[in-house]
Amino acid sequence: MLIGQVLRLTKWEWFKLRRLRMPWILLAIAVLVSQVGIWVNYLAYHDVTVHQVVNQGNSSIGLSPDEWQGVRVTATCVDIARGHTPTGLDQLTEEQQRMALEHLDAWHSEDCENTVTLNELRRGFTLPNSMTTSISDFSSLGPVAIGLLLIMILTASLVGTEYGWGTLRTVLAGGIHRWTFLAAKLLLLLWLCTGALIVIVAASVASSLATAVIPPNEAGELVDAGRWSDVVIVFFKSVYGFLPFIALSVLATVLTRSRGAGIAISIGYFIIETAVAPVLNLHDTLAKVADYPLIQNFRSWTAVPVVEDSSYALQAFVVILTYTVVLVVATSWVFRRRDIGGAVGD
Amino acid sequence: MLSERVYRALLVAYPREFRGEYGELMTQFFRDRMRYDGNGVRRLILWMRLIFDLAASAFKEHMGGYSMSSGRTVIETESLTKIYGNIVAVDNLTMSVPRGHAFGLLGPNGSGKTTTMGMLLGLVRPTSGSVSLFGSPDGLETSLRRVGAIIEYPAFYPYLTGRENLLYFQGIFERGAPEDIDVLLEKVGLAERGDYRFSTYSLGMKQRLGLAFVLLGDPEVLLLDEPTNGMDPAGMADVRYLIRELCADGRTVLLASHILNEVEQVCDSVVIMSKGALIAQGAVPDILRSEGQIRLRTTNDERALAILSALTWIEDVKIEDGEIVISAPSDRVAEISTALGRSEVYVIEASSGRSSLERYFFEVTGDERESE
Repeated sequence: MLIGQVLRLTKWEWFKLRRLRMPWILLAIAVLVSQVGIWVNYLAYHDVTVHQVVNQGNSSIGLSPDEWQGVRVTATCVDIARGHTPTGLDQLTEEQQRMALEHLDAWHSEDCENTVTLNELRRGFTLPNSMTTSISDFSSLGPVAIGLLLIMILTASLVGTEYGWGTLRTVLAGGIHRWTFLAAKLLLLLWLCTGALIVIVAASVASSLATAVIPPNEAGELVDAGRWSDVVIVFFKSVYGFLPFIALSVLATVLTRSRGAGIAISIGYFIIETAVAPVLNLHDTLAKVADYPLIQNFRSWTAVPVVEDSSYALQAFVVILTYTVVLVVATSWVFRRRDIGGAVGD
Repeated sequence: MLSERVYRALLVAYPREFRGEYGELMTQFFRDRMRYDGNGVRRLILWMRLIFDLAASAFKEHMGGYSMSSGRTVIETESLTKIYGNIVAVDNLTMSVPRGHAFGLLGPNGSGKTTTMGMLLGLVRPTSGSVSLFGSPDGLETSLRRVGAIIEYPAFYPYLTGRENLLYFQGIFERGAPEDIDVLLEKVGLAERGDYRFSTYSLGMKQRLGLAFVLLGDPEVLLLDEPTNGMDPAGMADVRYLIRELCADGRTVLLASHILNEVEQVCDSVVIMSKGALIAQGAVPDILRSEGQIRLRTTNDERALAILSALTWIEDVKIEDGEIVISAPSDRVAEISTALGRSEVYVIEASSGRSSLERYFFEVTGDERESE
């Protein structure tokens, strides 16, 4: 029954929220940010300078020494990178094959070194890797982690405006349990994050299709375009990773009863932790503490390509869970005990 | 329709203050049934709910918990106190609001009215003391579902229209049906502005929307804090009429106001607060009767003053503008005249009149300037 109340409240929160402009603006920013990587890769890949490297990288080499009695072995950089057997190799003796491969390796390392970079660029706008990359870019792009900032701004706004307009009092005076209200807000925010990631994934599909249609599209062959399973893993990892940041913003806003202060504290925490964590690593004892800051664990949790070191993933999982539980419990405790006043106008 | 006739008959023959919990359940059943007369499934659900509710009520009564027949008092506070730091916002307030009454909570700004309302609604945690709504058998939050309240000013979402705001609150509180909203907007005079954003409303219109909000789901108890604030005279008259109409229909209204005339016109009983403390309470007619004023001109005012000052049941007597002004119940003029006649002081002219609640208020709150 209480779960039903939370779901009903969440449904009506959505009724209210979708009429606001701010979430749509934030979603537009999120989509733009997530697609930047795809299009930068696309443009870099088709850059003239890089294109020359492509030709060089794709150019074939032909080996036909006299002692091979007319047999010609040919290969491209991509063939070698993908481990394909060069044409004509099977017609040679074992000794000749060994010599040919040594020669091809030397040629590859000298002339094909840019091929890997090129493949990376192409992976950036090719499905399914483009989806994984865009989710990762949204969640924790570089030092900015704009996705986290947007989520914290949205969270503080959704809770803070209830204080600012005085509507929290109107809601609670009607017999809505405080914890129900809080749970509905958290559920809505989780749903919004999930929804935003779905939109981002859809936008990535559209972008990747567009890069295939817009000329020039002479891409050649690709070594590795990523795994579809990585998309699903990164998607759910990101949603899970957002939880403590949502809880942090709610706590900051409930403590201060102010949207502005909630945003400031959340972003302030982000900046301070980002700045302090590297400093901790300089000290032997403090370096042990440096394994447990939230943002660092979030970054490693949502890192692409997906890290398959289970012990490291487990640590990040536990750290994120601990932060989430502690922050939610603290928020609930404060929210239940606080008197609810009128509008504060923020 | 039969259900409507039964409902109307119940309202008349079975006043709310005598109904108790069983009567409430029956009345509510017929009211809901009237609304869904054409819907067989709904009617079946209503029958089942009635049977369940009656059984649950009987069970609770049998178990010796909340007494179903003790439904005469809907709001009770016991030694309610709220202290903010060094400031005592509400000081040991004990009061009870009977069912079906319009009850006034009077006091100057800062007297603790809104804090009291906040504690009644669970928004403010009492420092000590207790609050009980309908005996609070199911916890405060559950009891609040039978209450419509607006505190200080109507706070709604500025980017939603009036209609959307009502729809939202109706949805989260599960009060009534969406089609009720048109009726409510019409009732409070916002039918034409219902689809405008709340942020574009004047203060008076916001108050009207606030009234529509408290009426959502036809609650049994309404807590109104300064409901006419910002309204034009016509709007204020509408609110007074509405409150009287609600009480006539058996609902209980707790009206917090500093507009004394408003309280005097609307309320049956009143609690007067000052600096957080209850300083007077009672039925409005009793207060006014006890605080009557008699003005006399006599053959010997000086001697009359001395004689009347000796009478213990006269609270105050003084000479003002060449007249003797006596604070005493206005129906005791004859006794005063007799007492003076025994000492051969004769009344030349006597006039009596009820003191206004305003005058009484200023006297008990100790505002010297106003009381003079």
